[in-house]
Amino acid sequence: MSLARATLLHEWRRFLPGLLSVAFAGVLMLVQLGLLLGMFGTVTVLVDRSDANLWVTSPETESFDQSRDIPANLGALLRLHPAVARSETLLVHDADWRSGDDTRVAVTLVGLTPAADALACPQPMRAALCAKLAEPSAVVIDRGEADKLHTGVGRLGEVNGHRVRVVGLSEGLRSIGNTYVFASSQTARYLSEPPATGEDLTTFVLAKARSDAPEAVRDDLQALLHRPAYRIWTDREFSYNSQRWWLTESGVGAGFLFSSLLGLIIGTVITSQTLRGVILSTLREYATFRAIGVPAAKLSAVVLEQSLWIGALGALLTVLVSVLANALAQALYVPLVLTWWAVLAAVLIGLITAVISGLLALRELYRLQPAELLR
Amino acid sequence: MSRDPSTASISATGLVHGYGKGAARTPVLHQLSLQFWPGELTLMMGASGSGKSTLLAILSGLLRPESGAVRVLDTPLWNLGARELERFRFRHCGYVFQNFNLFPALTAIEQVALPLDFGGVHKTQARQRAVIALEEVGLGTRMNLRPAQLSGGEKQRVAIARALIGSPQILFADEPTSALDSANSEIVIALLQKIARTHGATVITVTHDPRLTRHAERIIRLQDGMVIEDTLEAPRPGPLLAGAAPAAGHAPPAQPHPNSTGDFL
Ligand SMILES: Nc1ncnc2c1ncn2[C@@H]1O[C@H](COP(=O)(O)OP(=O)(O)OP(=O)(O)O)[C@@H](O)[C@H]1O
Ligand SMILES: [Mg+2]
Repeated sequence: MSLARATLLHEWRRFLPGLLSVAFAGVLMLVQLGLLLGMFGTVTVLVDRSDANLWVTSPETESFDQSRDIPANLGALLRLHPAVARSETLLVHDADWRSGDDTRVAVTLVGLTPAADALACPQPMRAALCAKLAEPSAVVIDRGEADKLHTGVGRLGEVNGHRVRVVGLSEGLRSIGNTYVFASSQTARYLSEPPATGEDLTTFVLAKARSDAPEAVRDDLQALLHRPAYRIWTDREFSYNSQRWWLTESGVGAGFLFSSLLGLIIGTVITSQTLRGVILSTLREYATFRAIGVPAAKLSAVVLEQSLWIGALGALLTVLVSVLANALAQALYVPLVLTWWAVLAAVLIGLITAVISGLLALRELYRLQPAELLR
Repeated sequence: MSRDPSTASISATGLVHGYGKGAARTPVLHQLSLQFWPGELTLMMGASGSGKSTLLAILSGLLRPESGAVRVLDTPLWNLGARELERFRFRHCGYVFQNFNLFPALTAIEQVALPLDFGGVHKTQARQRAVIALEEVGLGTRMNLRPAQLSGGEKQRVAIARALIGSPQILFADEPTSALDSANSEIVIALLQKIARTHGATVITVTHDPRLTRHAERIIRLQDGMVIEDTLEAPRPGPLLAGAAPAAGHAPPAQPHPNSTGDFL
């Protein structure tokens, strides 16, 4: 067995703090990123769960929650394209909720076509709920928001002072910052404040292009819609852009970077101190080998091998803990998103942290004066 | 054992060394010249602070003297570059220290094979040679034990086996027995002498223990950085002197060394 591994196994207690700090920094990073992605992922839950693959928004829109109203009849224009099979409108307006016991909550009113196969109908509502919205004054809220809105199935409430009835509870349609109240387009128009007159304005126009690659259709339509007035996206683009905007522009992303960096620095310091401690405890042995004429570089390789092992084991622990945290989060309905690229990045960063720590600890080896063994 | 200066394995001339600079300088070695020959165990003795370890460090290529020259195996040691010096030590020198300096994590056989591992020798060959070295120091049955499971004497023998593994022509030992009881000290010093005789190695050992003198071919006493005594010990009867030259055999006890250039009191 190599000196590096034999020492690791024999004195694993000494190495443990380094390993744990690498793992901790990794978990901190992954869980934070996972929560951010989970949180920001909810911003676009209606985009991600809808069947539409083309979205038209007002031109200044960068994120789902920012679009201003656009003409509803753009849909007719979209359908001129031979690849566009269907188009629909989606109304998203701020509103005021009041429950039977007078609890008031700011909500987001979502008006969509009340049909199971509607483009805008979110996947979890397809089975039954979208069709139920056809009843006048019917609304659906998410099970996760029922407590907040002090309501339940069959109960009555008010939106902007108009009476509504909760006809069902959806699953998994929560969003950060928005409490959605789903209604039919017609009901939503009626509930809007001020009431939307006629059918001329909506928040989004959605379409479904037959092609598997909606990008080409998007380009055609963008030319048709002359860019300054409207912006047209594929669903993936719109979702990605919205989340990126939240990550980079909202300030939360910077907070994440800062705390992750802090975790990494602490991890590096602890790991390098750990390795340094191990080197110092066997300094005489290393000095003996320097005396024999073994170059410092070969001894450094031993320390670097140890730091790589610490990095690898720490990264493994990071992955294990993160997977467990992910399972726990799913069970508790906490939106945590663990992506393979984030895990890969955490593993690499863990390895790099450990190697940098090893390099910092090497100082001790290069300072060695084997003559000091002779006293 | 020839006393011909041209056959010396180590020749030091005009060694001067001190620690500190300027007015704070403490002189340690004063114009010291000495020669050592293969096949001999030389004991270096003297009061604490007399410069024994400093001299050993200079002779063994670990400490550059302020002035003076050291030729080891016809190589002017202190003319070598740092990397060449390392390579020279790796090929020709072995070291044994007071504190054994064994890695706690390694078994005896791994400790002994380690220098060869660093030298790029194939694993199985390194192990074979480690077995031979451990058998030579009488630890054939202890090869798979770690330092924590070995006695002090056994640890020092592992360290000696580790020093032997590269077949060095020169072996340096600084107080190898001062952490050991007298029985173990005897074993260790006898082992070092056997190595000098059977391997034809030049063995220089610093010690404080007067009981060990009967195992040495030669005794050098230092005082304040100067040689005050340089004697050949009386040979013991027996077949041990194979390979030893007649000159040592005929030398009377406590005879001043013919080639030493130290001061005599
Ligand atoms: N690195 C150093 N810096 C300053 N002074 C030193 C250093 N090493 C040794 N000395 C001094 O040089 C003198 C000789 O030291 P050296 O270690 O050679 O003595 P020694 O004969 O080996 O003693 P001991 O028997 O106690 O080991 C001592 O006075 C010591 O204090
Ligand atoms: Mg000393």
